Amino acid sequence: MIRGRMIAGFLTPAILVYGFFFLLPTLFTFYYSLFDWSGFGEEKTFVGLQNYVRLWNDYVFWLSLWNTVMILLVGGVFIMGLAFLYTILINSGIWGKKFFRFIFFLPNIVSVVALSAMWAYIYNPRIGLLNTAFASVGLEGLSKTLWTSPDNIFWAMLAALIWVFTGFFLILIMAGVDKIPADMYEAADLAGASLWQKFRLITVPMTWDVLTISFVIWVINAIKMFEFPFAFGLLQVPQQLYTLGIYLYVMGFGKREPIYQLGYATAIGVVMLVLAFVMIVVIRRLMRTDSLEF
Amino acid sequence: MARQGSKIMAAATTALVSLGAATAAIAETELVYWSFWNEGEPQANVIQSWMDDYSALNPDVSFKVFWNGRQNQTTVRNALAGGTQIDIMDADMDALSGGLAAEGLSVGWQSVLEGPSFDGGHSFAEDFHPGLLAQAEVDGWTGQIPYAFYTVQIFYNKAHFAEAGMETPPETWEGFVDVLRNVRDNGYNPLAVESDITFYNVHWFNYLIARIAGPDFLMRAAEDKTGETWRDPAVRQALDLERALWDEGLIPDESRGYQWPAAQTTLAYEESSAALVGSWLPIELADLVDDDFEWGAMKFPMVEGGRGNIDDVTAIGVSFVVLDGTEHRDAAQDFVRFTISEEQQKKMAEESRIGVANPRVSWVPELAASEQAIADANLILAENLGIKVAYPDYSSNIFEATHNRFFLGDMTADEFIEEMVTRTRQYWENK
Amino acid sequence: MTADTKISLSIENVEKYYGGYRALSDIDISVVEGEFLVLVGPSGCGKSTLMRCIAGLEKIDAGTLRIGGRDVTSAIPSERGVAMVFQSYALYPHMTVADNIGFPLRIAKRPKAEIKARVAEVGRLLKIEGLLSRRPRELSGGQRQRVAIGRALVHQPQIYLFDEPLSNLDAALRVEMRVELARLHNATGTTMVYVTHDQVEAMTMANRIVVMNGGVIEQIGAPLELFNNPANRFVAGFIGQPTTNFVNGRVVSADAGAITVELPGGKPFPVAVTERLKGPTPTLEVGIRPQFFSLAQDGAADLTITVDVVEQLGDETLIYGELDGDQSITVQVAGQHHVARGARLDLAVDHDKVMLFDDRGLNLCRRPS
Repeated sequence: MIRGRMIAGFLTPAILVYGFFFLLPTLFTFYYSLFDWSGFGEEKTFVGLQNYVRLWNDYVFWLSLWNTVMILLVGGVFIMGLAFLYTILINSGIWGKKFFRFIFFLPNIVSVVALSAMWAYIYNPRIGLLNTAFASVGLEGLSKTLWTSPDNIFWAMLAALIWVFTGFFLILIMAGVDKIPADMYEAADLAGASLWQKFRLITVPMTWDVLTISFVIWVINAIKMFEFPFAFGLLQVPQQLYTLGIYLYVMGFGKREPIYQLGYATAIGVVMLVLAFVMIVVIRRLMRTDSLEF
Repeated sequence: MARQGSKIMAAATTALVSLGAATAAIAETELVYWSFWNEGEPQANVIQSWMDDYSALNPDVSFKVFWNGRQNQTTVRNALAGGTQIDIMDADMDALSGGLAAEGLSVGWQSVLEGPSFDGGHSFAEDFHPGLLAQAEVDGWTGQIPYAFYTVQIFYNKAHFAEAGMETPPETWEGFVDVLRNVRDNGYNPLAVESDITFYNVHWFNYLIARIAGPDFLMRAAEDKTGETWRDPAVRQALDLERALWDEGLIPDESRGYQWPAAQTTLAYEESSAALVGSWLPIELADLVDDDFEWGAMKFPMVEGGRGNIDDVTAIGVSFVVLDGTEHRDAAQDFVRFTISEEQQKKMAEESRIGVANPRVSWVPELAASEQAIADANLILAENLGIKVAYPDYSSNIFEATHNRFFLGDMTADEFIEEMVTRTRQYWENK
Repeated sequence: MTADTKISLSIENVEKYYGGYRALSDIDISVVEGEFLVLVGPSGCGKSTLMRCIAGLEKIDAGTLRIGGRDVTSAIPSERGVAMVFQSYALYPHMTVADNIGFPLRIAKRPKAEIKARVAEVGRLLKIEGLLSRRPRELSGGQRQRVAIGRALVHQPQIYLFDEPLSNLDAALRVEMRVELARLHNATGTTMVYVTHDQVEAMTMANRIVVMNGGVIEQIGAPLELFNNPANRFVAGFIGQPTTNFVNGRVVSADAGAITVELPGGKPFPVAVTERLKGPTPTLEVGIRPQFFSLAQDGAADLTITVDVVEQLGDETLIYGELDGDQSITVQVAGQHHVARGARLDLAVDHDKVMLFDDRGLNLCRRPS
């Protein structure tokens, strides 16, 4: 009894802080999403689920959702795949492991604005690094590509985004791979395992916990993706780059446009929250396994 | 003379204050100003000097400034929701018309505008270019005071256009396109276009539709709940004229991949020759262009048989708002009145090289054509011909975004029209 | 070695460097088919490195490796026909015991039925058939050891490599597993190379022992050969327990077949030698195993010690003492003897078992066995 009360006593401050700063705002978000509200002043009109009905019929919302899902899936496959590939390459015993790890992580410590300015230069149709490089090796056709034209800009942004995020997950996955004892691979070498067999039968199962965490972190990042595509638009984010996060911002905080629909924006926020929650539950279900001991 | 006297008085008072002798006698009024500018920007420096000078004249008034930058209105909105006391703020004119002013959170200016100007001799309302105040109105009510603005025109490289044989700017679209063809044949890219900045590119359509079908057409099209107005032949004509610019190579194809500021840089390097853009461009590129680079600006030409007027010009203003919740309404409004005075406006015009509200103040030479356009203005057009203020989400998410897809060749004119009809109808159904 | 014995593993002039550090030099060993060869030596002597070179986990910088007569110097591990049991067992924590044992077969893409049958067979042989569906973390240390051995067995290799396989087990289990490994060797008759730092394991399990030190081979030989006729001071000190006593002795006279030495506080005695002394040598290091002392009868003492510690083991007594001049001596005598601390104890030495080492550490008294 006393023990129980003590535990309760120690937990109370944390629970209060958590409740006040996290739970309460989340509940309020849902509450506000039921209103037509500009965000100026207190005047709100209760509209029930009307904001959600509007979302359902909103072309731009579906576009933003589609882009978000593309970032989540296509971006996720490439980021995790490349992070693994680089991990294997870097761990294959090449010179300068720490150097390469640093290089790959670098985008994570540079401001996104600087990164997007750099990519704008890379993709520039006339003086850009990419097209100049293609031209210099004689790939004239490729060197005429307009990487940031409306039909290409999303994929161009996604490629840059993959580059930015790979480093972060490289660090996570590499830490997971590094804790696998070397003799696990040596035993496999003696059995004649190929690189792919070692990857599939040893690396993946033995980094399963790290992978689960990485996937969860990526899902959260992808669903609330904002900064990079936003900065990639420099002066104005073209609609081709809208994510749910950007659309929420545009509708609620009206960058240059006087769009002030905070109620509607919070409805987008609620959708993002539900999406993230569902995805995480699914991932944890799919990836559930016993903890490993080695 | 009176002003001279009060200045001396003010100087004497300041001296006294600084000596510490008169401090107790002065009732302090602190005006809280949240700014659209960032600290260190030329405009911010001028506004700082306005406040300093005003305090010198009115020792009982001091200022507390927050340099918030371009997101100022959103920042102010959130602060107001938190109960923060703010007296004055500023932002894009159209953004205010659709934001704070539309929400009734700003004080009205009618009586002050009818009263005397700071310089005296005329009413405060006469301190503004004709048409500018009208643009600041929402439903006949004035909730903001524009103090500086930009015009949107065709800015061009004078040398290139002279080389192309242009003596005076063409007044017709045909004449304009002829000049562009000559520019193209001389080896330049006539028009610079950023692919990603929809609110630059949409000016082509806005001007064309205003010249063809009049400045009120776009609002009618937006407000037609069936969307059918978009099928008007005028839309088709405007779209075809835009398309022709690309088809004739007057806009280089690779512009589809230009991300701001890629295209305007080609202007500075004299690889391209003109852009339809705001009057901030000559200033923005000042450090990049050669010393002998000369800017010209021309009015957007007329389209044959069109219902518009060549003197209608789009302007993008920056306005002060005195917030409804202020406890110092008189002091705040007096300060704003002071900023529109000739002396203060002159500082803004010269130091930050921007167009200013007061017609008695002349602009810097590179904006001479801009100033002329305003002086000649028959009507000052709001951004997106007013729909940006009235229906900002429609304007940005549907109109501008779809136009950009058409403009960059992602859809045909017919597809654009169909898309606009459908999306306009959906917009109203969903509202 | 007779003519019809087949060489299973031949290591010829192998060298291995890590940067400028020479980890192995001039390694030359021939292992006969069915032999149990133990590599023994202190930490860092190169025994594990040599084993890893045999397995192909490390590249050698010079020399040749042959397995079953085939040159495997640059072959990848799986092509060498070896299986290895790791010190840590290297079991896959996410796989069942059966999957762990069957792993090499799975890699080789053998049919499922064959894998199942072979795993079951190995499980029976190692008496772990009841554990096949468990995960490694549900097993005891000894059981994990068996699984690791099972994974090696299922390979059916030409040579088994064991890298300190018993070092993670407690003492009792170690003895048990030692016997089982010996039994396994008898049952399979396959060549085994076994690395340990424990000379008891080496002595009890090996057909032949390779004593290594500082990357070189000190001596190769049968266990008793190493015990009775160590090539040098290092082998004499490493093999045998308790450790050989080394004492400085004064050379009284040196003839062709014998050298007469005198230990501090003792009488001179002759020792038969097989090597000649080179040049005049005033003192020699004298090696006497603790077992070759006896308590001296009146007046027959070869040396006298001052007793420091006495350990009674029941069937024998260990006496630790000091010679005059602070040289310590360990004595192992049969039966139970009660000696007081600080007492003077006269000892006799079995002169035929005394070893003499020259200044390079070479044993001067290698007797033909």
